[in-house]
Amino acid sequence: MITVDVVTPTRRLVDGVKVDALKVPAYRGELTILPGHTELLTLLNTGVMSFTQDGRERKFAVSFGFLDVRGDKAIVLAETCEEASDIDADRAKAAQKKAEEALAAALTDDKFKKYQLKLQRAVIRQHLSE
Amino acid sequence: MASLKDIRKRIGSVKSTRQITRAMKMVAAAKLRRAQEAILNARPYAYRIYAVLLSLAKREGVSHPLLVERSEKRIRLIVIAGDRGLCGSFNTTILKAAQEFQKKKLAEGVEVVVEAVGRKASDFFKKRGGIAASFENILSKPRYQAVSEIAQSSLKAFAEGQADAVYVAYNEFKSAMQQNAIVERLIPVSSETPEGVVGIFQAAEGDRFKKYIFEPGVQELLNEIIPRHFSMQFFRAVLESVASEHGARMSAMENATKNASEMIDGLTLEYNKARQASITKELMEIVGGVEAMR
Repeated sequence: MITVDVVTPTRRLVDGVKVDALKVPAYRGELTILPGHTELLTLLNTGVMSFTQDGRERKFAVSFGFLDVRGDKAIVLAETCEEASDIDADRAKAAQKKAEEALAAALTDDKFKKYQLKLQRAVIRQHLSE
Repeated sequence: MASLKDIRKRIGSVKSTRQITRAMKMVAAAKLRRAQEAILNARPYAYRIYAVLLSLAKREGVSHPLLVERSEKRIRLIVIAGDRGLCGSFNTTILKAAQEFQKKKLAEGVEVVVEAVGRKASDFFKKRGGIAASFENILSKPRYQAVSEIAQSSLKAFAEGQADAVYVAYNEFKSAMQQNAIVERLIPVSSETPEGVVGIFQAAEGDRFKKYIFEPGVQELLNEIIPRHFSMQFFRAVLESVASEHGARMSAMENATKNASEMIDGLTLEYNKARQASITKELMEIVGGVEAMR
């Protein structure tokens, strides 16, 4: 079993939940952390993190963060992280539309990158909320 | 002695003032609770990210401009005060501390660029020497993203050489009764380990730590973590200041309510005395009239 903690700047989303496996969108692609994993510190991409707790799958939309695996503990530090059930579908849809428009109008590289990330986040959130 | 009507009027006005201060106290107390919760919620993330940062920074062969101290020629000072008054000495203490710091640095020949968070801070520094930027309307409901943007703009100034250090002046929250005005350097990141982080950091060290896998790499991780760490530190300062403000307002309003109650007691006493005096006077007049009619 691995003990999972998920913390964001504003709240402690998951506190010491024991799971069999943890799936994260790691830097080099999706990773599944199983018990006995080597010590690892990795950046997280924007994507979906999931694990099964008491037979129920919990999914989270993560955007930018770190995963720190140490012994049988896995700590996720994410700038924003939302559980699928907490996502407002209408808002997610609106955000996606806004990001698409902004991306189309972006002229500089910086802006393009920024809105691309925003769009990516919005797509994932929208996907999860369904 | 004031007339009965005057005293009654004064009691009425003090009573309505007391009602307002009491309501403000209640509101501040509720907001304080929420602000304290926000600090507690922010702590795990702040400590963990700092522990990771320290363990990375102490590895060999890594460096980051934000860890390197430069001689200070031009610095940036971000002052966090409140948007509103009626909170005791909350605003004056921090503004005074910030101004003193500014004077000290100026005397050393360091140019100080001031940025203000909160209306009171921007009003104060606009009158005295001016400010580079001011941020309002973020204190009533501090959100990480908004606060982070302010932090990142300072970070950019540091990276581009427009500032050699970034300091933050804010009220540190001790308790509802006590707030400490402090000026803290956030950039470059100090390599000293503050209390609270020590335990986590020590747990992170040890032999097992050496076979860690780092993705993408130690240096790249450090590059990503440091800006986040700074944002978080700044966010924490804002949260502390907000909690301090509510705490200060709560105790100020409690005092005001107490003073109003005392004043009402005094006035009521005076009112009763005046009322008795007038009754006595009327009785005397009646008795006198009856005497005269005999």
